Amino acid sequence: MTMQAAIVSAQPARSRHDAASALSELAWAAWLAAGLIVVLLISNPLYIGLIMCCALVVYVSQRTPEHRLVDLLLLGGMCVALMTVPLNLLTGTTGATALLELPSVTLPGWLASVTFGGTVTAESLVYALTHVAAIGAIVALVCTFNVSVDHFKLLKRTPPGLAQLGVIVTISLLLVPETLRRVVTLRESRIVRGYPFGLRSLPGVLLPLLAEALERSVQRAESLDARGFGSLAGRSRPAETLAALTSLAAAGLFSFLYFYYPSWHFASAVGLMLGVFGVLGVGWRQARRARTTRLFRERISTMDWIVGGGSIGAAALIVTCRALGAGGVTFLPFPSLTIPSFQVVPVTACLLLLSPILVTRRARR
Amino acid sequence: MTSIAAVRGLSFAYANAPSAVIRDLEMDVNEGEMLLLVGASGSGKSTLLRCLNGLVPHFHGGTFRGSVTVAGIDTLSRQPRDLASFVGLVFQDPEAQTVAATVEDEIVFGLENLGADRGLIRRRLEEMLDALNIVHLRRRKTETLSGGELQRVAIAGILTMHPRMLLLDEPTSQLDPQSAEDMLRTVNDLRADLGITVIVAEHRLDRLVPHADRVLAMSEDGDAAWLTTRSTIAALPGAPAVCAIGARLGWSPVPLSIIEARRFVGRRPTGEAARVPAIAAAGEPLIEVADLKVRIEDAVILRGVSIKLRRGEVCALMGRNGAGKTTLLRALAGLIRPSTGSVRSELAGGGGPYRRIAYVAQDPSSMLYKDSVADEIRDVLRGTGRDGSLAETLDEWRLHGLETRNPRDLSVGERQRVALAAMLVGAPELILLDEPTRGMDAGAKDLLVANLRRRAGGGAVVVIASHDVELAARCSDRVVLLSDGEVIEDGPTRRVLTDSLVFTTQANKLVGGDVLTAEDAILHLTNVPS
Repeated sequence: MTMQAAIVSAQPARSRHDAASALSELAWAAWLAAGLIVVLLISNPLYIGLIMCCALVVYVSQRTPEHRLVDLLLLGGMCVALMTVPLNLLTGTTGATALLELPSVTLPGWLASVTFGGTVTAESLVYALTHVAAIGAIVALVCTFNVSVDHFKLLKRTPPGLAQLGVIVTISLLLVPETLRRVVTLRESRIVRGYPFGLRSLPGVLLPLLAEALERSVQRAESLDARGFGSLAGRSRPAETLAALTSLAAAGLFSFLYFYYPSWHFASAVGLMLGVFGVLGVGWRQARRARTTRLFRERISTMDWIVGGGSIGAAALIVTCRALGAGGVTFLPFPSLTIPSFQVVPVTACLLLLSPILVTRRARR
Repeated sequence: MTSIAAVRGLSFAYANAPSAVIRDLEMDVNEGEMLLLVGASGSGKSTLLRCLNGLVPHFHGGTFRGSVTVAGIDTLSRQPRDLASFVGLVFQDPEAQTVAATVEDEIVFGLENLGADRGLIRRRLEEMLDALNIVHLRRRKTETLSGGELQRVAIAGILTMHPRMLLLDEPTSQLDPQSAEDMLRTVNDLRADLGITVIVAEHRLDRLVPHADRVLAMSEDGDAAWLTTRSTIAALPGAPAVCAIGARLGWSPVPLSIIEARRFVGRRPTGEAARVPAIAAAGEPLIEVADLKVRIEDAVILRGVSIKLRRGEVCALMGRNGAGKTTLLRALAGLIRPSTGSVRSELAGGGGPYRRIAYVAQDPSSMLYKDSVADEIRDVLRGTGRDGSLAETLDEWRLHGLETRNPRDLSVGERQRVALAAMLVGAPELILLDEPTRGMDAGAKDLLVANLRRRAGGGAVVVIASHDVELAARCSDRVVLLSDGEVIEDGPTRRVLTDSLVFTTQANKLVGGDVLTAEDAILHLTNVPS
């Protein structure tokens, strides 16, 4: 080479974490997974409400002014969740505690004879609000994850054997920020055309907005492919493909058995775990074969261990409570409303999901 | 010579496209050569590059006939990622290529994927930061870079991979003259040292023609022809000024570079900047910028900028990438609120401000959202309340035949023309254009110059932020040179763009004095006593 390179050999090790998030992508992934597991396994409205509050607090601690548009997404998700309340009240007439009486309409038999209206019960209301809190918690968890992680670093964390899956997941995750970025440029384009830009103008530009964002995401996928992402993962060997598919099928079958055949709980839980470990094992085997390099290696910090460990602990506690039928994590308001239980272990599990806020604050200090 | 790529009977049509963009192309590319692809917007240059790295048809679908073989591998038989170690493609739109959040991550990403040794990656990173003069950007977030800075980072990201075949799609479209020279020097170093093959699609030919071993001219009907003689290159629309001058003056052989032309004209006189009087106060002042300071987050982008723009004036904002041109343009458009200082305008009359102000952003795609070209124009007419007609606008920008097409299906150059047509419809008094020649072919550039001069003649103020020195020389009356957010020179085009080694035209570099265009040079040289 004729170029004279100024090699800087003794550069200080950099913190590869953004100022906004002092945690690595792995810690956030563990937090998101634990949050989703906990929400999906719990039906107690008090615990679900607590998880939603925890997720919102973490979101507020992570967001920066440039995430204003994600606030809109969060708000939109909450509104959609609230819209399920009237639907639940109008279609669910079971329950012993009547609140009010509405005129009712029953659809014909070929439309499953669904009845709208009738008696609105307190049980239906609690059931509907529990659903709202669950959807709200999921939206808050996903929005927090989206504003906290660097999608590119997340992609680089994908095991090489799952590179193509990683591209698909990343491109899907990128669709949200890409759409939000496009909203900003579209707003400017509307302004210089003499139009105001508000919620009312959204229906007219929604399709081009999504089309453009999708096109951008596909271009990113093109760029990843053209720069060799996943090229060293190697082709899956037939035996590996067979093992991965078998493990996946086993995981699916045992999760079905777990939820629908309570007497098989233990055996199906063991089967489910084996299936998941099978899939992970194939990924690990392929990762060992791949030779990709990472110039800037992420260090897993103590904070990452705290949040990751706390999140896994939360999930483990709730899974255990659910398996043992303890802690009052399952709750059904029907046929008559009772006060849901509120016990130390599940509450501790929910509060463990707050760990990112403590760590982030410590990092900022 | 060994062939690195072979194209046999290649025809390709995009899904739902009315006709094939490439037809029956036969081509062999020799190892180590530089091939230049020229042709109008939409003639298939970018498509051919994508065929060579397998993105076409693997990502685009469409109808693909024939075969493309690179380093002995049929591109149909392997995914683009499997060809990445042989073929590197720099996309036309650097934003589309960027995947990482920081500059360093973006540059090393390709090499990391190829499993290169960490020490090697580190060395290449430092080499490329130095070679493309982007060391100061290394810790920056990619989303905070200007268009030109991002383009340099995108080029660095591919050059670090040292591919056997390098494909560059309009690599200088957003680069300032110095950055374009840096990029070209680096590519030539890699050619000389490693023997890499380079294929470039480009509209700005003056820097590239002297280095090209062969030139392939592609036409809009899908055909392609090799330009085998210097006179055919000189006859190209948008041919370098020295070629045009040489062809007109009968120099033989027709020169392709300033060095070759030098033997016909001798040494350029130095230290003789054109003596041009300050700009005559032609029209009444329309815009006055006073002590403008703009801060975005923690960075001061503009500081103490004061300029006065008069009716009938075409003003070019020039300066290196990241100098603050786009920010100044956006401040003039009212899209950015100044931190201190003011932008005062004499625009009067009813309706909103955008009845009189037209603004076209750097990325035309970001301006367009309707389903057809005609709808875009109608939408602006309706929103701004300007008086104008669709038919006249289609005529003015030569868009007949495209009016029912979706802008997203057009080439970058065609989209640029659609954005200009839509945003400039009617008679806005203040026209603000950010890199308007990005992706534009020579014909469209001529059209742009003619239309802007006509608008200025009608009393409008035109402000262009551009790195295209030839455009500024042909179109503007005045040049405002920015550096690091400050105005460092403001004066008539002939004064600012002469006696400079960087911000000047090829004709001026050759002849000197107050010569700016090929026509000036021909006139000057035919009047010089021998």
